Amino acid sequence: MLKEQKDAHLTRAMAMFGDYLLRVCFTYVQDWTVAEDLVQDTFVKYYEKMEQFREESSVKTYLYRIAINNCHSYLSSWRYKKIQVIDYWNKLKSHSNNPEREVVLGETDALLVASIEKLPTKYKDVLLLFHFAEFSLKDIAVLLKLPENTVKTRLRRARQMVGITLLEEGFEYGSDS
Amino acid sequence: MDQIRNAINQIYKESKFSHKSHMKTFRKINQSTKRRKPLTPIILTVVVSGCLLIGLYMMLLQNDIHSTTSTLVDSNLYPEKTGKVKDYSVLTRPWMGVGLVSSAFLFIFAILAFMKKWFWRVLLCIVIIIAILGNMSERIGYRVYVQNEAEIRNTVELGPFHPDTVKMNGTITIQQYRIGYFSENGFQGIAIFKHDGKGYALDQYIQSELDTMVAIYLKDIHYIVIPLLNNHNIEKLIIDTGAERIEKTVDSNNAQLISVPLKSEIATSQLLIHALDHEGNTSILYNDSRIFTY
Repeated sequence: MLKEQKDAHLTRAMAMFGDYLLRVCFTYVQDWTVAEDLVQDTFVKYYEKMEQFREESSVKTYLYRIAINNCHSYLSSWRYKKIQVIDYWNKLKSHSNNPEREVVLGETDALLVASIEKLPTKYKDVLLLFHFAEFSLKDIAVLLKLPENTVKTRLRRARQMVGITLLEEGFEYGSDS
Repeated sequence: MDQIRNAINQIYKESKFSHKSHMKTFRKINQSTKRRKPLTPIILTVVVSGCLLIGLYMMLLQNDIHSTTSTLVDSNLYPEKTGKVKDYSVLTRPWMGVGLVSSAFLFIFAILAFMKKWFWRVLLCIVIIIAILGNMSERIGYRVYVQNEAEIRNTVELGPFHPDTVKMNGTITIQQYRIGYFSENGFQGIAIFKHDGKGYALDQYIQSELDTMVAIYLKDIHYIVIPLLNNHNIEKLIIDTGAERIEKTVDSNNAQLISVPLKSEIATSQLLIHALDHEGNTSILYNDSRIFTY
């Protein structure tokens, strides 16, 4: 494949999936700069392996898989743990909440998103892939290398957890339908 | 539209994978094609691994140098062997076991890290493995086999005694035990060599300051070995076990070892060793607190 062709494919992929991947990554890492970095890395990997892809659906699967793997790697990295410790220390020192965040949390959608952000990673994976990226259960099972029944169970629990979290904050959502 | 998708898109609607990010991605791609693979950890890993292998090989080679051939004497029951060999029995100690298990785990992790191309972690693992194994190899001592008095003397000189001033007072071999008695500037020492199936190997070392020593009761063969100091004036030893009374004549006033066979196993608490001097006076030479049961 020629370089110009590869560049064009990449530009198209970035235009199609860039925003979605960025939002998915942000729900994991809670930092726009880091999320952007992770998405860029995802596209770099895609560029390197571009010859392997024939169908657009496989591109989408690949991009989401790489993006989620990148997020997992970042969350288990020393860099992230160090930031967590510093944040925790700063919170202890300041004893103050983020007012901007509190305003946002006042909205219904924000409550839902906030409850998703609080989910443990393994539940967040299936919930985002199913509801946000709109993959089928079968695709998610392949993507996460998990049995389909495990994906179903995790999805059900993730919904329940989102529902429970929201109920605690006075918002009813998360029926298992 | 799905409520979750809708909510995320709504909340994060301002966030876009911007044109600037597109440019950054292309820049990263250009950099990745030009970037050289990091060679430092690979080189260091290879060098350090090489050192580890050479170190282990040297350790094994050292073992080969010191092991010597065993020679059989008349008695097939207690064959003789000379020289020193590595004594790996120390590896059975709990901390050594911990060290070995840790090294094994680290080695497995190093392989995993190598497969995942985490070269710095591989290097770190290898350095830790070298540190553990190096420390362990330092603790692996030698098992010294002796065949005669000269070899016992050489063995004693491996310890704190000076070769020029140490004096061998005598050696004695009773079945599976060989005992060397020596002195140096007011210090007395007894080295007990026990037969381990290959030869008489150093097993116990007793040292005594000033003009004192302890008698040794060899429990399994019912023997008592009594060391006498130099220039003593003892003519006869009287061993009182409670059940029997044994007399043993001493024929010289030099420092020496005297072995006395007993009829059966005794309780050392009842054992008393009396000394009878030239003038007919008796005194307690060794009481139960100065008898070492082996």
